[in-house]
Amino acid sequence: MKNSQLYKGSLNTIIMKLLEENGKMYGYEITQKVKAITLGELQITEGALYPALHKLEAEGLLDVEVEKVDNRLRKYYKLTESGTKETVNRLAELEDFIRNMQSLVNPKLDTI
Amino acid sequence: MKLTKDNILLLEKTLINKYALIYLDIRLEIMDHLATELEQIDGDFEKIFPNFIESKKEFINKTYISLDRQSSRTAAKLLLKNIFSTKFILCFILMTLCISYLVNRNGKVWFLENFDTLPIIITAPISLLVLFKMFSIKQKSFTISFFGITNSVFLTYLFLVIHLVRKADNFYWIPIFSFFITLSIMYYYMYFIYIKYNHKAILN
Repeated sequence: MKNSQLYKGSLNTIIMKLLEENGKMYGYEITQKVKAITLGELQITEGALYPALHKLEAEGLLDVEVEKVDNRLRKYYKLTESGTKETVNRLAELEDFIRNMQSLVNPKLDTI
Repeated sequence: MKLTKDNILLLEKTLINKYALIYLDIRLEIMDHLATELEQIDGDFEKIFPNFIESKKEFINKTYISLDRQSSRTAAKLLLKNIFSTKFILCFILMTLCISYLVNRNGKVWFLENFDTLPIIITAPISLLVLFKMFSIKQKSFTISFFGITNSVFLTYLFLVIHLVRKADNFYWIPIFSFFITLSIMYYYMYFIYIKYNHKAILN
């Protein structure tokens, strides 16, 4: 992921948002999706992605499905019921954060 | 390029032999990632593979270490979750009452002469099974971490707590002993119910 604490702190929310939109996804697919949406500006490193996915799974926010694809096993991740609720909370929190930062960094935009 | 079954086998063999990715749950995830990435490259697998796998050295090592640590943390949390569960607490209370009754009736000396190593004896079959699994190619990081941590608790009992239990003059030792005996019984529950059926990380 881009070398910034701001992005790193949002990794879990990004993963959960993508899963909310796409249903189930596998690790490589998530990295490519982020790259495509941000036009290559933001790249999630695999070294950060998989531990984050496992952590969310351990917290009960993600569920896994294993399928055989092209001679190998593939682990798909999807949101659990509590994961779906948590995604809403985290997105709201992130939006608040962005709004507050916007007010602090560029107060003029707020007054327009 | 599309990877054949032989290509996948070579990838898996390389991950085990060169990068020591011994745990199945971690290996399969890294393997699928690398295979998918390889499939995006055009060319001959035999020519591309050596350089490709070399360029992924850092990713493989970093991810392996992170996921293994994550498994240990999850395993420790699972053990604590089980210890603080209603089932465990009820079993613990029941066990404490039963042991208190037996001690009142037959005395501490009789009880400890016959049962002080019971928590270790009860857990021995599962511990041996886990030990056997450690030499299997299908061993999983999470399972090994979980049973490693649980067995450490029992080893603490064997080498430290058992002496305290034997020396204690009053009834404090009964809840301590009850805790370990309850944990040894719950060990079976955790193994057969939780690990076998609920932990989906690929598994069995």
